[in-house]
Amino acid sequence: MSTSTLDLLVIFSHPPLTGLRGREGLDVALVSSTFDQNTALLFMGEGVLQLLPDQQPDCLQLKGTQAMLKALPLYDLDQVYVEEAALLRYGLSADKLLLPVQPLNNVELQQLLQRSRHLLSH
Amino acid sequence: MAGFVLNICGAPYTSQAPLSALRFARAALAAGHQIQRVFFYQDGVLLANALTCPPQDETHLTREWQQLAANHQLELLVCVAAALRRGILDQKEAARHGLAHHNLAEGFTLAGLGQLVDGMSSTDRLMTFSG
Repeated sequence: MSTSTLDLLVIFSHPPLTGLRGREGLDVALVSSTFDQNTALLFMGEGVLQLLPDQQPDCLQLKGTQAMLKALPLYDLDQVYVEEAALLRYGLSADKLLLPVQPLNNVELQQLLQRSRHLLSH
Repeated sequence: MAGFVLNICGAPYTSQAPLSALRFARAALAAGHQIQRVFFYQDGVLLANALTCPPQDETHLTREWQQLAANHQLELLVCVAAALRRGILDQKEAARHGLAHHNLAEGFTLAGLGQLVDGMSSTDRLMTFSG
């Protein structure tokens, strides 16, 4: 894990397709990165479910956020972290999610929060 | 003296966010601190609805924010994307979308998320008031 200071860490802790939180959190992260701010994303708790591949939001007449998530590397947003314990809880493995992520244990999570100037929780 | 950026994300009345933020802002200003920027995002944009009519014996949150902003020359910035989704439009946006009405309350300005990011980069004190 990189040890540089982050300008912004956006935390996602809600499941997908349950409102606008996820999309509006991604919007801030994208704008922040466009403004040359060192920006990272953290998916924790139920938020890790946002990273499941093969979601079918159109079945619910929703747009979903998969396309935005897959486009993150194009915006230089390649610091994507997930809570390891949450992956275990849901029986997920990091290499089967819809984009490359770095799992963090509790100590590493603490370090990530400590090196972030600003936190936004979505 | 410290400079704060406020990020208000919860709706008026159905969440405590705009009222808590108002009380925080008053306390910070009274203690000699600065409020550098007030940004309304997510359901917080609903505070900028000029058509809000709470019962007379309840706090009129939109009006109280307008008064605080006028007294202290605060800029009240409202995320344009979040606002359009939730039916908060200024005259220009209403015209652009072919709508007959607009309802952005006086004293509020539609702005991009870049304004929030710019505010964050200039302070170590970002306060988010969530719904």
